[in-house]
Amino acid sequence: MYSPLLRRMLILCLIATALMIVDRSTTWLQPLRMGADYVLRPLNWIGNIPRNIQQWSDLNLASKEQLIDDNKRLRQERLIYRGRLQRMSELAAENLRLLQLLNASELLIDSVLVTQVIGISPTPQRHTLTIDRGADDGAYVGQPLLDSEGLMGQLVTVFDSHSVALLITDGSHALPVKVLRNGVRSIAEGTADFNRLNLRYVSPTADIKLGDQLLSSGLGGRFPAGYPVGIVSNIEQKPGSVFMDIQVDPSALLDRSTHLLLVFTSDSNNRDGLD
Amino acid sequence: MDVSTRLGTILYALLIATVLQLVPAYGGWVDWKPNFILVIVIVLMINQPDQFSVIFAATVGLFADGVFGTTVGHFMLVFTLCGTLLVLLSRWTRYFALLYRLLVVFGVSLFATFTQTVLINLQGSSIALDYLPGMALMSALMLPLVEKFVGLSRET
Repeated sequence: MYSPLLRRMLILCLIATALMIVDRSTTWLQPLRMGADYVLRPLNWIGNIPRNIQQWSDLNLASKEQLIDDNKRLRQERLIYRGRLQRMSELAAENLRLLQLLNASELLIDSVLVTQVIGISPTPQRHTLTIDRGADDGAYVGQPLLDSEGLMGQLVTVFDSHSVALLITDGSHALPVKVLRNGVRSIAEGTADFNRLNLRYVSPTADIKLGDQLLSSGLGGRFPAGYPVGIVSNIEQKPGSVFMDIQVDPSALLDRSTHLLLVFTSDSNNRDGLD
Repeated sequence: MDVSTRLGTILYALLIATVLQLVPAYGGWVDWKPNFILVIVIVLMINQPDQFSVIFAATVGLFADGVFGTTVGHFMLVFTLCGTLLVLLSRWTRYFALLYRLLVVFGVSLFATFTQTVLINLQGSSIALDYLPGMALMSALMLPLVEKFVGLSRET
């Protein structure tokens, strides 16, 4: 009994391994993936019904007092943000003048497109989101994604009407960052934990402190520079290790944000897929 | 229950499992979300090993790759290994009482998630293992409901 079973298992395992190699190294199975996505789209829609009901009830079943309170709070926040924006405009103008003085070769001005999360990865091993913007809206593979707090990730698959984004906390993701305080550069790597990133290859002499804010450095050309990535939450020097073990709390609300921004950078050279 | 009704029930169960799998879980709940599709396969193979073979497990695994959006072949490999394990254990598990069946589902789910994690780590990503017990426990707790649904519930 065992011999045919083991033979069958071996053949199936070989087929599965071959499929994995083909899928990872070629685009031959892309049409199959597209087809599966179209078939599963209605099921995704059904799966989102509980969340949509919750959002609808939050919106429509709120009491009048609650709405008045919200309105009041939002007006106050708007006032504060307008004040900050005025200050920012002044700083941006000053920054522009300084860059012109330095003969900076290129000044990037980003435009954004508001998008909504319509699905999340059904497994904790993969940190991906599905958003309601696709190739029809001008989305492209590698496009950066933000929420109101910071950098979320980048698009990895673009369909006609929706796209799949890989979050910065996914285990396979890494992005170049710099410390806001002094410009020290590093690479923030995903850990498959929504609340943690790791900094790689930081020497023990590097000037990085607890509480330092990290921004995207723009190196590699994938992400635009200057967007918040996270705050250093823990620094550890393990005995015998050449590099420091640095943990970072992501700025973006990776497992909560539902409304996001797709960034269209003025640099369009990066539309040829992932690095 | 005739063959067509049984087939319909199984397809219906897989469809519901897929929808449940696609229901978004946020925050810490993600770590506790069971693999509904795997539970369906385990339940069928524990109770009727003569009708559901390793090929069935591999086919559902391929389907799961589409649902989860993983590399094609990833879940096929995991489900094939789990299916083989279940066929090997089936001569005993078919006579097990509910508690022992729960333990089998827990063990196989644990094995499946561990294998998945190893495969992902082999592909160059680094993933922690701390979510494994919670997910396996929730998968095991789904057993009575799934058995009831697919008409395989027993007295014990």
